[in-house]
Amino acid sequence: MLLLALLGVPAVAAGVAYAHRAPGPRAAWLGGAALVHLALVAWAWATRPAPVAAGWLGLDSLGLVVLATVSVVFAVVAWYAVGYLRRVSPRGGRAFVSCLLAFLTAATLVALSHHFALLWVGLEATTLAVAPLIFHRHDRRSLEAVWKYLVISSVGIALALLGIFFLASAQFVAAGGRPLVLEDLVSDAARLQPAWLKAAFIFLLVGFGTKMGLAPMHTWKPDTYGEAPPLVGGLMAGALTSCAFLGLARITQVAVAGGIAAFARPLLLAFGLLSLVVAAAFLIGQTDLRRLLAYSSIEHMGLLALGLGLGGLGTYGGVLHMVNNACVKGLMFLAVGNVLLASGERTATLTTGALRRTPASGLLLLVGLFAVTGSPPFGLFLSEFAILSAAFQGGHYWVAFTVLALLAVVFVSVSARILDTVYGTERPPRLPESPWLLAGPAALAVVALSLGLVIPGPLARALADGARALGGWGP
Amino acid sequence: VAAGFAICRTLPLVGQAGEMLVPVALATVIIGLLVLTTRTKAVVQVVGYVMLENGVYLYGLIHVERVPFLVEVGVLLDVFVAVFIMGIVVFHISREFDSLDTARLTELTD
Repeated sequence: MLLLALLGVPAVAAGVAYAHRAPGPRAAWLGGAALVHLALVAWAWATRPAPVAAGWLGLDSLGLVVLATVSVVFAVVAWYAVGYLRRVSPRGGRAFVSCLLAFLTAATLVALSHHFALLWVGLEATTLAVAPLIFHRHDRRSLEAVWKYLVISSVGIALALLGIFFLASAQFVAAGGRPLVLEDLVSDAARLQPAWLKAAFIFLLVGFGTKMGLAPMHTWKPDTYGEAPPLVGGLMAGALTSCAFLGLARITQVAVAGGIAAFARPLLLAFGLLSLVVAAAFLIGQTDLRRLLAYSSIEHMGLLALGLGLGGLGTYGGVLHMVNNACVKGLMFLAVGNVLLASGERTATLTTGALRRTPASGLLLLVGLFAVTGSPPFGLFLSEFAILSAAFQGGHYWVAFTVLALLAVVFVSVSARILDTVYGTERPPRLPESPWLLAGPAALAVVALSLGLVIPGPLARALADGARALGGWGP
Repeated sequence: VAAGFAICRTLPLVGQAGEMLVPVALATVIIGLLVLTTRTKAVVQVVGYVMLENGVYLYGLIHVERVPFLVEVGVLLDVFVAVFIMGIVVFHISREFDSLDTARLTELTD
């Protein structure tokens, strides 16, 4: 029942919010649904409800970590949206709130589903729920962004569906069990037909990789993040990518259990390294803040793929990295959104002097800079360290050194642009800042910092458990 | 099409239903991808996407008795909504740019 309630609350709220004509009740439904969802997730974490619907919907450690991440990021974004919608009224305001809630429903479905086809339905629904949000300004640039996003993501996700059917073939030819249910696939993995399993893995890697934004399927990402409203950017970089990562983790779980790890891991390593290279190359001299964040997101997705590909401690680092990345990306996008709201600019290419104009947001941006580049004591430092030490332990020395060099390039170019924004040379007047717009990113900053200092016991157990499911181990 | 048939030779086939179904499905996927990538008109790209989905779905027919009804409905609904949203975007593109040529979508570059 709890699992169904998790799905039902945001879905009902989306419908009711659409029926309201005044913006006040809509904002209340958005905030209320986000808080109820967060409370339900906490309850589910404590009680660990049994699977429902013939094992299609369940909650294992990996899904729980992703679900909690999505829920926290969404609650922060919803809180921010309440303040944002008071300042800015996007066209089609009714649809805006409903699409946000529909996204939460779809993301919850992804995190809960233990059936690959259901997972696909959820992922495709997240894609579609976000599209109208990118398109809210109805001008040429946002049209171009939403068209690229729709076409590239839809094709990628269609290929993923083909991969899922291949997986069904792999199961059909040799093994028994309930079709496409994760537990049965893993337990009968030794009897899966390897040729079909390999084909399925390739298609699913490309499909879910498109959704994550792994190079070379990343091309929609900078355009979309550059044009979407900052809170939608934060939601996509924080929650949507985590859902896609969960999909990739699930198929990796089946691949490792099916004995084709030696085939799958080099592919993951190659995509991860390529993403890092592409991100580092395009980050140099990038002027638009949101495009900068998009390439930074590609870099972190590359690290996630590397974590999965390295195995061992790397999987633990990868899952931890996903949590950290979601918090930090939400923080960065919302802080950039505040700076943009204050300066009144549409594109974030010229903004400077943020610390003088909007001291609190400028400070948050500065904190976010250190978090996003993986400096200690933030959580990203720990998870990057875990991934790197997995590379050294596994004897992938050249991978480790390449990653270190690329991370140094990323650090320099991201710092250069952000420090420019925060300090700058202009002396613009101070503007008042709304507490609605500051509370969310500040909360995420606290989470990112505390995850670097101490990982709470339940989370650590869930992370280690998730890593073991992926064929690795935790510390 | 030839590539689709060629690929099928290398895969261990399912047997009964797969004789013609698999090559035809893969060929449809490949043609859909070709249409999608080589044409610049927005509407034709949507047609390419639908062809691609058709191919994927044709392949899914092999498992028609094993994939539950509810999942099929979910997949179909998603594809329907996708095409619906694409239709809305195509409408706005044609109004904003006075044409459906996606080669004109060039404002966002690095």
